[in-house]
Amino acid sequence: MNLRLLATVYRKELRETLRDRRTLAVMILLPLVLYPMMSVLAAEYFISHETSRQARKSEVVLVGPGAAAGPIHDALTAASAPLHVKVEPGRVVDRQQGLRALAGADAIVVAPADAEAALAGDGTLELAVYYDASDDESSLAEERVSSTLKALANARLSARLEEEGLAPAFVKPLALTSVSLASKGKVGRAEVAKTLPFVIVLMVLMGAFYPAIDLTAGEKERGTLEPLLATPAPRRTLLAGKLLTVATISALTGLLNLLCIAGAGLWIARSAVRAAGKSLDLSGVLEAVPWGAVGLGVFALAVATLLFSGLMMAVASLARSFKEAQNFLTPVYLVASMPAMISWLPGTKLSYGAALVPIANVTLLLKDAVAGTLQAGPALLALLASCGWAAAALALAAKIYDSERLLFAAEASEGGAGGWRQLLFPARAARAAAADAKLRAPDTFVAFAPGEAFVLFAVCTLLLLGAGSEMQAYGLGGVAASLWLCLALPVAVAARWRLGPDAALALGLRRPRLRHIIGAALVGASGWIVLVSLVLPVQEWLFPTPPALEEALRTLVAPESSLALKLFAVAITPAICEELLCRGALLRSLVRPLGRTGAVVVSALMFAVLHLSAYRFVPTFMLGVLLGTVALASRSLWPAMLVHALNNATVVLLTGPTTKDEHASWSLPFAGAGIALLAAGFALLLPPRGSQR
Amino acid sequence: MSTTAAIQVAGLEKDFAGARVVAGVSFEVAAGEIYGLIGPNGAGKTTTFRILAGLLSPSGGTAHVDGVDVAAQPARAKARLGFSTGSAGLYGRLTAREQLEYFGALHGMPAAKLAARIDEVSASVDLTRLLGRRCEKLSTGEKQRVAIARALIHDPPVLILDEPTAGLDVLASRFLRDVVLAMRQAGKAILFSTHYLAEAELLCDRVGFLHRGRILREGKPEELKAAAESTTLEQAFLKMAGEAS
Repeated sequence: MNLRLLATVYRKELRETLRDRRTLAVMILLPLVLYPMMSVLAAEYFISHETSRQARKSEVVLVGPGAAAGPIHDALTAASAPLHVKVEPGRVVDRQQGLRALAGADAIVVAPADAEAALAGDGTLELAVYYDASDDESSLAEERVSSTLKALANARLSARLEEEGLAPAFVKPLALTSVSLASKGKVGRAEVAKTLPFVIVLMVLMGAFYPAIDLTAGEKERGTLEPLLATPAPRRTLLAGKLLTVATISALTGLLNLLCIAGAGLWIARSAVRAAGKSLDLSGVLEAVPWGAVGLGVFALAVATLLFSGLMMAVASLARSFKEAQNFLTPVYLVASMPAMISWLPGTKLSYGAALVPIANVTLLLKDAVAGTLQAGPALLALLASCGWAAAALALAAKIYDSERLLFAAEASEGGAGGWRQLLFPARAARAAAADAKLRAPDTFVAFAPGEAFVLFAVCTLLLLGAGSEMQAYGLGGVAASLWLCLALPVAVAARWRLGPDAALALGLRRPRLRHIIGAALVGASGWIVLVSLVLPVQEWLFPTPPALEEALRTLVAPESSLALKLFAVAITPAICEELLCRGALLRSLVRPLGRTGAVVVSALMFAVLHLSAYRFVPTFMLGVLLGTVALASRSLWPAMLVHALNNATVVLLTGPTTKDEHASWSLPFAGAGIALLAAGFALLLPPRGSQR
Repeated sequence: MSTTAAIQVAGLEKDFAGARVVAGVSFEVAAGEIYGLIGPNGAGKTTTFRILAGLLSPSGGTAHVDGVDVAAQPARAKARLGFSTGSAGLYGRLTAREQLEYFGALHGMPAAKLAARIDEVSASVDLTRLLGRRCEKLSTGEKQRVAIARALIHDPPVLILDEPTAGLDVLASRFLRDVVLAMRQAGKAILFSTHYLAEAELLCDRVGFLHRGRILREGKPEELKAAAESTTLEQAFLKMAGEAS
């Protein structure tokens, strides 16, 4: 890559971005002005509100025969008690009256007639305080009354012990002292470690948001992309320059936010400490900060900014306008910020499993680094994984930036069966265009545009979550019915509505070749062995299945229903319904924008999402990749359905769902045989060399 | 095919998702000639231009710019071509000078040569006093002049102008036409498109009627008018397009 050219692009993009008010607002105005101002104002308001609240005396009504005089009256009306007591001996209060009994007071204390006698003797005086637990002022009054009366009770107890000649220790046979061995600094850092990584990752993500749009979709909208790409500068260099700009802004946003949050935090802490008449001592917090580990965390964060920037630029490149890119990126931002929330959860640490999850790994690495509990192994894996994810995001961005789709999203989708309006009002013209496309290129003749396929997927998933889960309570029959009604029916109706009689062909329901059927049978019979002997053990090591889920899976397949029903509900039905949605609708629609590999990966991810289980995510994803590959290689949905049905049927017939103990019994030769069968199947499925499309 | 033509397009085809947008377009533009590609929206003009500018790859046929195949050697072809669209497409937050400097640098021009070239080009399109202003503050006509200057910054022998006068007032389009004529005088091959057929008649040495991805007819404006027995180019186009569909 020509570095001088790269520097030229970087300088120009940075200069232009720094002249953009929107970016500047997010990057500088928010952290430098808004956050400190907001937190300082909030803190000041809180302090002044709390001070005036504490200064106000609670309104307490003392009722009952012992209200006018006696020890309760004396204690509550003493000048030191923060109470304003009104004495109404004649007033009757009971629980039946509810909140009406309070009649404007914060609390009511009922003092019985024999108070003095009960306290002087060796009995127990029964007292009641009525208050409103839903009201802050009333609760404060209750606390104050009870602490005032506790002091009275303690004084009486001491007097009684003295009368009996007993030491105070007599009523305190055990005194427990809890000592935290952690230094004040370590405790402080552990607190900071919970929130800071989350906030920083969020800020870095937010920092990448606008520049990523501005430098891709924004450039497209302003019409500058065409002249730019008409220069001889290589596209990769242009993209690299833009990416560095987005990453720089993103990192700067994170850094500025960090500094401002730290500054505002210190200011608030100082004012709080000063109000208490002391001076702020930071030596405890700063001493023994593991600067090496924190440096590693910052490096990981830098890698993560590349991941965010690449991802956001890739997605924003697909949009035609700034506004469309905002719509595309908002869900990306929300989904990407979710793994960062893991640092809030108590007890989360960077494990080997978590080290592989993008964004979560960086957040946890930062958390452990700040808390001083970072371990070398997972940290190294997290760093490697982050680099891998960043590389994947960059490759995706480069792929989109290299494709014609980058420039001309509008034209590229014009010829296909696309457009929201056409989905709602399928015109004859759209059908005619689709029929034309069918004749020209049966492979790229798809039922839905990518956006439509995703909406369909979302509708199906929601149906399955809502109505589907109700049906699934009725055993295997309910499971089968839920899949037909929530997945197959919506896909079939939408495709039919869209394309009429061509729907089946557009979903990939074409007659397959015999070679592909045999290949699919081999893959279907062996894919499961590979899954069980290779994928599941790794999965169990990374994310062990909770026993409850294992039990649930077991009872789903194991009940005493007939084999035919089991096969229908667990093998055939999912094979047809899930393939129609994930491969027929989703995978096929994604080939054009994402390419074959991208389409297989994304549709497999959605397939895993559809199964709504974090613990089965990895194996389901792998199965999705397998099925997607089969569907594309055979150019038909039937072989993928066959593989899917065989895979599920093997589970039903042979073992039921496998458990951890059973993995141990799978031998290496068994796995080897599985791989050999799988390879033979794929040899039949994939087109002979030279004829690859 | 003559070897002297600065733009050579032969049997060019482009498919978008199964739809053929350009269906076997062939034409040539010589140095010092203005060739007008005329047709309604969706005729395939912009797609043809984008293929010539190396933004799209052709589905079939060939396109040469100054003897260089755009599909085989896109970078070399782009270096010989100036490309400008009707929407100007300027970076609003950069000044006109920064704009020209950036594109000169992308063309690999050394800084000293670039500064001199900016002065030269700005003078030729009357831009000198606007160089220090941000492009977002310029009028439509001024923006279009910056866009032309940008397309000329590396002094290419071939120029493609996609509807450069769209949305301009009378004076501004008059000025732009003069600039185009001056460039022809300087020996550049100019490929030009416009929706104003009277303008094409004034400006173009030869015109190609593009309709549904095909060239219906090409020739000098007078020849086309005579062939269609029409008094204006517009009438001639409507007549020929009507016969074709």
